[in-house]
Amino acid sequence: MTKGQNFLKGIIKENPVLVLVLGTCPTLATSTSVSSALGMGAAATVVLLCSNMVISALRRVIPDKVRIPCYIVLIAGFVTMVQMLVKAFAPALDQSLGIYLPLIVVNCIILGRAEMFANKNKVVDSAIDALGMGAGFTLALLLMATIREVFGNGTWMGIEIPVLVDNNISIMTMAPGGFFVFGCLIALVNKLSGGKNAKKSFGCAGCPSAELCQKAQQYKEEM
Amino acid sequence: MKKTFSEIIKPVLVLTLICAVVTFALAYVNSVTAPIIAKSQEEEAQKARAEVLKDGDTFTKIDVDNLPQTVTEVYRAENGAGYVFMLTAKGYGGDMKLICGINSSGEIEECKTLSHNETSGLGSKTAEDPYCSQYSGKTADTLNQVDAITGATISSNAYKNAVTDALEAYKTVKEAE
Repeated sequence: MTKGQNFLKGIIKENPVLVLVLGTCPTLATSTSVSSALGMGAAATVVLLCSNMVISALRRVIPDKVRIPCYIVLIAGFVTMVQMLVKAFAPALDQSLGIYLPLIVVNCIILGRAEMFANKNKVVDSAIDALGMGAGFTLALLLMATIREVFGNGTWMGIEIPVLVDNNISIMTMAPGGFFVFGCLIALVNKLSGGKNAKKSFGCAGCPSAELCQKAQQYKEEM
Repeated sequence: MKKTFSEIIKPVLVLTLICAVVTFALAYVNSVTAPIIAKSQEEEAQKARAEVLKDGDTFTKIDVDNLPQTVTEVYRAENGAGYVFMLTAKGYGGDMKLICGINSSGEIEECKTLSHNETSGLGSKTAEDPYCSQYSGKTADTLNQVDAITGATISSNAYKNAVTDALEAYKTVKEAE
């Protein structure tokens, strides 16, 4: 896999939100407006980049037995740092992200990349992977936020759009509208890619705890 | 012996070391950002107070007994322009933090929402202008002229009750002084 492919796979082929369906909670919650989607995407990308690089650098040091606690400590550390920095230098962003900023700790995308990529690859590749995945996450969020904000609020980045602003569909900015847009986008991506996207490598055998899971082992043997 | 080291001691050591390093990094970042955060929050609060009571110059916090539960803090304008009340109301989606400035003749000068978790598009309208500007110029007697927002009865009521409490607190404060 070349470096370019490594970067691009996060955006389309293995898009974390629309293909791997990871990090759904922050996606639904912060895609109500374009500006908070951008903020969330940027914050998650920074954390992902830092955690992927550090975990990749430490991949020979961290013993297999305690790898998950180690990853969690590192990720939580980075998230808390990002949160303090955002609070200090961009309080408005902190207001709009609210509880979802600290919740990046439990964002599956970050732990998922640590397990699936960073602990098996070199630092540079892991950084590229993180940037690709971060870009994919941000773009998916941006796309969803655009649809939800334009139709739900009649604005884009706070700029009012004539006609739509007086005829907004306010359910689009609420949870049901979020699920609706999310489902439509996944269906669209599946349709465009013929439904073959990366499903195999992320089946049971692609699960982070496959080694510990009997069913996954059985499945592997049958393959 | 070798096995004991790699199986038991090494994981413990590595995890402890990682925790220690992360803790020190966090402590450092915190020591850098904490003063900046405190300063910007104080500035924000000061700005909000000056906004809801334009004639006030400097505000000092005063302690009053027997205030309604929604009133968390009371500030007095030093030049006698009035009082600013910090309110925490129970809205539809959790706490709504409001700030309300009442001038010396008992009229509400302005109400503002500092933070809320109301439903976006419905209850969130309580934080926006056509709704909250209704409160300007109202007194305890004319407060019932404020129109609620369609589809957001709980948020509107929470807002209105909090402002009612602020007016109540205003009376208590006036009597106490």
